[in-house]
Amino acid sequence: MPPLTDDEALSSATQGDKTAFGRLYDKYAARIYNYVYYRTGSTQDAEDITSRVFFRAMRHITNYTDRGVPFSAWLYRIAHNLVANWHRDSSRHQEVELEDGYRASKSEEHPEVALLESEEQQALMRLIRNLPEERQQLLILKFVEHMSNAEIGEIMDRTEGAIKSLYHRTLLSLREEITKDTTGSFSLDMFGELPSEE
Amino acid sequence: MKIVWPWERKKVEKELGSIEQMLASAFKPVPARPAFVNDLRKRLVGSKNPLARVSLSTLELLLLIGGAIVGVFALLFTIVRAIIGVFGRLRPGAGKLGQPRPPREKKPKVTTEPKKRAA
Repeated sequence: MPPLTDDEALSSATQGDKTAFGRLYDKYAARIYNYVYYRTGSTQDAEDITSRVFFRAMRHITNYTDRGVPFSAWLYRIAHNLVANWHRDSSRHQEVELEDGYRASKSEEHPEVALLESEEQQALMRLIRNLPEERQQLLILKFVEHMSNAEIGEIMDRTEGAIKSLYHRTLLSLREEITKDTTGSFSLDMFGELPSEE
Repeated sequence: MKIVWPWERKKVEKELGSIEQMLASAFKPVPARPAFVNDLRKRLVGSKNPLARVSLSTLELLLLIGGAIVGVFALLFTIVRAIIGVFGRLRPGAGKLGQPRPPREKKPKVTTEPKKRAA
């Protein structure tokens, strides 16, 4: 029997086919986990919320109707709502632990270079965590999921132009925060040879 | 947010490019624990009730129901027989079911006269 395509799997899953839902799970589990991980900063909470996303999706998938929005957008919205609840319910805002994923990938570099870069990235993550929720969501979808502005727009229920504009404003606000930063976490040459803006 | 003047645009664009590079290297995909992924899949897709996966034909279903009914009757019959057996054993001299109870034998009367003393 040939394997189901995504559309077929979705169609079968909406009729209560668990095997088809399993196929959708296989495709999206890692992506949803990544999204939740970067929004919560904790492996344990990421696992907990990812579980709840898929259980909720399975409970409501029979009510899912294709309105031209991809299935992934539906899943990301569930994840977004659960993460928002999580932030509301608990005042825990933990630091994102880059060590697990990041240091392992940089092990071939000189330890000092890796450490400096890691510190810089920790500082950057702190700045990102202070951004409004929608901007954090945009950055994660863009840099972790490598989505286009159009795809992000479908998830965030905005036009492609609005996403492009929001992204530009997000970068400008990050730049402002970095130039204000007095902790010395960011290397002086990160903006090249150009003098920093007064 | 500060205004970006036209003469600063080139510099700002370059700085934004640097920030994008930093973001690209900061946001690495983090793999989930395989045990978690597999366990969640089992909880989602794996059926807890093994019978739910078995689809019975009509004949099999009829046989199953018929067998259950016969089994219940056999069980009831056995229980009733056992109860009757127990009560039957408790009654001494009880005959078979449906037979009238035999009349009780009269006990000999006990004389209350005092015994004559031997002379």
